[in-house]
Amino acid sequence: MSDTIIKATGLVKNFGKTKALDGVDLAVNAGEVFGFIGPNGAGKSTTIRILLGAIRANAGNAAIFGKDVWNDAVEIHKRIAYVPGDVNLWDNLTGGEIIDLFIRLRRGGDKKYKEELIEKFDFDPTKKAGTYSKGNRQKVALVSAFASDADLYILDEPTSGLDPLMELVFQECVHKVKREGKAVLLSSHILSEVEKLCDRLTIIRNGKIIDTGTLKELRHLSRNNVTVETKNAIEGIEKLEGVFDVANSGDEVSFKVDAEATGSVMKRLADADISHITVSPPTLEELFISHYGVKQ
Amino acid sequence: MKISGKYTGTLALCKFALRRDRVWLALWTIGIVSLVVACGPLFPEIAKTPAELASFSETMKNPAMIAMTGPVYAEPYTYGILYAQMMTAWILIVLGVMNFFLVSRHLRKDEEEGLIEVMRSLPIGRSSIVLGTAIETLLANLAIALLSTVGLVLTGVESIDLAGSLVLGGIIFCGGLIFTAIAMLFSQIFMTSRGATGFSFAVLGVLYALGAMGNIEGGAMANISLFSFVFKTSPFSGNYIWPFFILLGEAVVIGFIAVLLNARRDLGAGFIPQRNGRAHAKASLSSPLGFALRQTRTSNIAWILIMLVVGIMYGSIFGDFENFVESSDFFKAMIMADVDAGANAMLSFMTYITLIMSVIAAIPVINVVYRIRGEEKRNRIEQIYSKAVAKRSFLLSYVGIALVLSVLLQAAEGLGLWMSTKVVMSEPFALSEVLAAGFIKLPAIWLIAGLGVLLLGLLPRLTSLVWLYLGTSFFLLYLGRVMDIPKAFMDGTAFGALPDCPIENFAPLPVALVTVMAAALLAAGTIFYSKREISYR
Ligand SMILES: Nc1ncnc2c1ncn2[C@@H]1O[C@H](COP(=O)(O)OP(=O)(O)OP(=O)(O)O)[C@@H](O)[C@H]1O
Ligand SMILES: [Mg+2]
Repeated sequence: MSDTIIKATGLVKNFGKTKALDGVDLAVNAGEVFGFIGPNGAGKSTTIRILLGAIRANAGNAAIFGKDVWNDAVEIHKRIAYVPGDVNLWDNLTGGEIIDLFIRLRRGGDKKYKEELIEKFDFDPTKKAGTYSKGNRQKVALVSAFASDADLYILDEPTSGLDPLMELVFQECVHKVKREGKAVLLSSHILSEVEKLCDRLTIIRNGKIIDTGTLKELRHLSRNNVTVETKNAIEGIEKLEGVFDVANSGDEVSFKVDAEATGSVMKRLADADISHITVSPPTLEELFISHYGVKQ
Repeated sequence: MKISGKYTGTLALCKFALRRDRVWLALWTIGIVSLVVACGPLFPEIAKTPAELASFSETMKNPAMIAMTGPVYAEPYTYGILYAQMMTAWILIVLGVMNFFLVSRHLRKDEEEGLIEVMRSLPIGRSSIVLGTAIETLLANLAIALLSTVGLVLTGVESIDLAGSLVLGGIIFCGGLIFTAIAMLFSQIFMTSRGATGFSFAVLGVLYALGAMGNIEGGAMANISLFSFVFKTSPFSGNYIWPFFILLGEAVVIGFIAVLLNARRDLGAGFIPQRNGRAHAKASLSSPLGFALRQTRTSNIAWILIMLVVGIMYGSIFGDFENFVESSDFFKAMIMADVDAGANAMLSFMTYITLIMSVIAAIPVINVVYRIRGEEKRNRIEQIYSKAVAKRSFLLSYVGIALVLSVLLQAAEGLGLWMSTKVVMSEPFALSEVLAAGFIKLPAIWLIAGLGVLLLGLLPRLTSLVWLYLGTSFFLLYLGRVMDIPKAFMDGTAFGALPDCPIENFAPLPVALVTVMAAALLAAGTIFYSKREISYR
């Protein structure tokens, strides 16, 4: 975690009366895959468009490679690859032509690896872009992004049109660039994808960052799921501090427990003579829901 | 469901389509009917007395006029015949455009957008959508035909009578149906609405060209294209109706083939699949300029050819200059001021025509600049700017192409005009005179392009203001002289401010002024554009 690739502080963006971003901070380092998650309209794409120098923040600073995202956009883009969620292309050009064009406009890429990617993504580059499906249009952007020699990959919901098989290919690509020490900013609401790929993540909602950290750290803040079977009946567990959602089904009891309270609850369970227990960290879904549920 | 046949739900679909298209159809109907009706009273203006009308018929026997519009199919010449001869081809072309868009919208576009998939999952017959669309267009064409007939009769122009107007309405109706059938056929053959409309337009062009040949040659040749065949009905003279049966028969046969093909093909497929292209980009497609050239290439070439042909057509008028101009107060009024000032009438007319062509040449030039706005509206521009491409270099690529195009267009129209005048005139113009007339107006085209760039940079949502400016200029320059509008208004336009070479002397001041203004607008627009955000939908 040495070089800071993206550094944004206090980004504010207003569209007329809507406040799309309200003080967004972001820091992405070299060699890490950084997840950017939030519900629809949270401000993910807006943040990314500011980072790309396509729109201008009303307040705050954003720098990539230490350069200003608005003033030095062209310099920065030589080392960036971007994949939008909604890829609009030119009907009269073929997918192969557009891939080549994109790589050339970015100044440089790997020809052999490009062919390999086209193969892997099972993509027909000879068709006119007007006939491509959503997933195939996304492949055009993905192939040209991963085949180019970038130091930062900005991916805005890049897999929303891919089938599960192609998603695996995508994950492989992300792993590869990560191994090469590149940085990746991956916006998504597919939580399983973020879980699999990201080292750190940030959660955004209503234009505000509500949490940042490793998956582990974020999980710490929320509740573990416990399912337990004991020889002796446990009583009054629902009265313990930090225990929620207790449900009995036969011999089994399941509940959620705050991270801090886990130890004391375990002691109590041990007294009742555990015969079987599973403790699982919250899924990202639950993280999401607890964050939004609490604050809605 | 009473009938579970191929046509189940046709009427419901047709009603739905009519509701969905009501505004679109109303606008087209109003547009076409007003074209048909409003032009009627113009002809007695062009030729005021019977003698003028008779001499005008000589003008209209000029091969260029016959090819462009139609033959003098009956004599003695009347306003009705003059009207049918001059207007039929244009009415048919506009009608073709409407029918092509309407049909491919329902049969190809909807399918591309997955709408037809939804509809087919409803209890609707296999051929109902095609048939429903056919009925919709039939009703639309019928409405246009009837309204046109009524409107024409109401103009009260001498010799534009009920019988002839009915025949003209019949031409509109049958022509519309044939175009519908053609579009239906190509919607089955091609995979995309672009392919279907593109090919329909190509066929329209070929039919028009064949019609031009048929009109000149007569005989069997005239039976091939509807553009010449329709004159067999002899509107406002013989008023024959037998040709209508043939036209209707053709429409039914083509339409029937389309329905058969539709029932046999798969959803989303065509009989001619989209051609595959190259897997790799050529070396030329590697810079903003290369990209801009590639994206504008086809339309640039097409416009250059169009301007060449327009030049040739206008040039051919000079073969029969005396008749054409002297018999018409309209044209006389256009050049009178110059002639009174001592200029040669032919040279004045050439200068004037070139001025009008220059205004037209501004259209493709602005279109090139506005491609950038199109890219932005379709959310494709972020694909470009997320690469190492500066806004300025992308914009200037298009501006550069636009400026070069302006020179090529002026050269093409000048060359075309010069070539045909060389054939038809005994003492043709010098090439330098013709080119000077066009090139002297270049700064005005640049100024309009500059205005476009400024709007693009400053008020991207109001880019269409430039069309208002161009439209006003066109109106003032085209009709200003005839309508006795003070000259100051015309000189206020960029085109009018520039000297009318070769009948006027070259004047460095206005030329420099307009050029500097154009450069300033371009520069300011470029700065604003490089500094502004991309607007997202
Ligand atoms: N060009 C614009 N004009 C007006 N409002 C906008 C514009 N772009 C975004 N917004 C608003 O800003 C907010 C944030 O939008 P943004 O596209 O950044 O969300 P997102 O997190 O990317 O959502 P999604 O997951 O749906 O892609 C939304 O309320 C949106 O309506
Ligand atoms: Mg988004």
